[in-house]
Amino acid sequence: MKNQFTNKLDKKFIDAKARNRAALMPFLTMGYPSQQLSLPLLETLSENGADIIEVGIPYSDPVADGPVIQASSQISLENGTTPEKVFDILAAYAEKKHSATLVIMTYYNILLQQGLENFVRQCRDVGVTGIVVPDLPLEESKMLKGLLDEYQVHLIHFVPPNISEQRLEKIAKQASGFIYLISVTGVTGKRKQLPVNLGPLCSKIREYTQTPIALGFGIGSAEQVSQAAQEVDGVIIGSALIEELKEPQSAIDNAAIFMREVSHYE
Amino acid sequence: MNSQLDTMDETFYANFSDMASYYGAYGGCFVPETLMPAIEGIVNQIDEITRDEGFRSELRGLLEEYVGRPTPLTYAKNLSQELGFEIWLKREDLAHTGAHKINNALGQALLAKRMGKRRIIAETGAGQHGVATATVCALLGLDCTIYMGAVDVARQQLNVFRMEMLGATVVEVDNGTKTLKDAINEAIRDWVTHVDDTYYLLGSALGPHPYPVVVREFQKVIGIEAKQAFQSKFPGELPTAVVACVGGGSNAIGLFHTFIHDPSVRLIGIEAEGDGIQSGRHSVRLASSVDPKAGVLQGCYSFLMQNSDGQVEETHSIAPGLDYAMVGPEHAQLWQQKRAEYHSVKDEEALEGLKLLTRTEGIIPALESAHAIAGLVKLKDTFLQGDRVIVNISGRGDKDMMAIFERSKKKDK
Repeated sequence: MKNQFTNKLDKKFIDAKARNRAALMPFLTMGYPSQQLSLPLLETLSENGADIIEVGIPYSDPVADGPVIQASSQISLENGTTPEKVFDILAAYAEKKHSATLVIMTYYNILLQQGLENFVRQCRDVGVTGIVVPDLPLEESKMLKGLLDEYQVHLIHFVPPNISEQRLEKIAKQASGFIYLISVTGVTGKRKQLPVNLGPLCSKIREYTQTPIALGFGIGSAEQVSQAAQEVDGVIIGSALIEELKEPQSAIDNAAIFMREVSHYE
Repeated sequence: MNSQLDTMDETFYANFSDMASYYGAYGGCFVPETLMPAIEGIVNQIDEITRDEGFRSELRGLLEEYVGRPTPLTYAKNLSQELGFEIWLKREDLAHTGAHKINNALGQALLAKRMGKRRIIAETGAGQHGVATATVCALLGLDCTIYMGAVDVARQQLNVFRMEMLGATVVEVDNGTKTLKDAINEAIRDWVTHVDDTYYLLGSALGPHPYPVVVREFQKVIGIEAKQAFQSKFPGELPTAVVACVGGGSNAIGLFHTFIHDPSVRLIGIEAEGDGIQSGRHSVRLASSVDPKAGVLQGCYSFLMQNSDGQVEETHSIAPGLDYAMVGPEHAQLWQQKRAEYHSVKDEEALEGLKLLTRTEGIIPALESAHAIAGLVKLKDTFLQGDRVIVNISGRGDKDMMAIFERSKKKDK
């Protein structure tokens, strides 16, 4: 069943395309490097070129994440970050009518323990336009997908490079918001090179769906953004940004510099 | 050959013809999309591979001549006298490498080899599954990498040395709680990265589908042998109860499985209560009087030690093999159906259990298995004279000697 709704997330991809740019999608662990900095960091990213911000709610056992995001999650948890506090931050962000729209990234147990419907309702209430759940494959996603459709929030599916044609077809049919294309098999984290077969992979996906494709896992520099932008509709930058935020004193400045740099890709 | 195994019927063999990904509400397959091709690979091939006569005879031959199966069922005469009912010990401690873990490691490694995988990864807590995996990889000529938490590396030095001698690479995991849970996280990350050529040989009846059923099918031999040996002594009869310790739950489900449809047989699982429920330092998921809560961890939906936000909590047990936050999904279902009962004993009680079996029978059990003995002591008033109870001695205590020695030195001071 194709979803019938569109929200601000769809509009962001349309706008980027009209400007002939890829949507820029930084990832930020909420509560890192501190809870106080999360709101100003979101604002900084939005003001300096982010179209969509992926906000991470920390989980104790992030199996899809590499060392950088793992460490940021652990520090955030040590800072006392809870889903409730994250929603407070997101509500404060929503009040100020910033340009960048928010997509939540977290693991399934966090949603389950808040109650799926309660979680989804809170997402809608603070203007979150999509949810990414890295440990929720297609087969387990029916219940969440039903709720999200009802509340008009997109469920973002992953497409890894080793996917079978059959599975790609099934995921493409469900796809909504964007397709999260994983550049290489593995966990999150910067990598030296983009995959060589990016073009053919994207063409294959486009045989099955018109949903925008965003590339993630391993992208950290303006050159890589520029390369990726030739093939995909959005570029997700996680670990490379998180690495810049270690020191609370310089986090805001570093975030602004980093964001401006990648948004001025050639 | 005229071995016991030859006389076993079809039920002895692992059977994957009718696998479901859920046990009631529990189980499932919560993994990143990147792993789905690997999971589907196992699900699609396992029935055909394990049904093959060549696979069956190779596994059966190795179980007999390499592992030393069937393991004995030993009557514990002195302990029986002390507790007032008959106690029969299923001697997995006598299996090669000293624990039941080898049954599953061998089955899965043969499967991996037939799937064309050259590289095996595994997690280990106590080191027993790591040693078993390193052992079968040495035997079958497979590359082997074992993930182990830094805390466990420190308390199981000798097993690290054993694994390295067997040719495995041991990777010390220094993040999170630095125990089994974090070793599994790291093994999953390795698997996500090397999904094409690597087989993840999971050690307990846990994790994403199909692992809970794979591990159970390769461990059910424990219960099948125990039942057969029991009935050769008492034709047509069944034990009053079968008892095993429960961490993830592989030795317990291995013992329980063949008795599930024998309603007169009590299935008793013993969890690790550490310093006591009140202390917060324990690994009790089911036996606690508080309502257990289910959640998703490492691919599986089952009962889990977690806070109200869904963050997984730190666990504790003197027995590293029981020091884990989740119980396997089939145990979750047996608990919910009230088919099995779960109790818990503290570190101190387990140590007493270890000493009791050692003193009365001359058998030093692993600290994990000592929980099952301590469970018998705790539950002794629920048994009558003449009752016959089978207890799984899932492993031998050699690996724990150093830890117990250190502990007794500390106490003397």
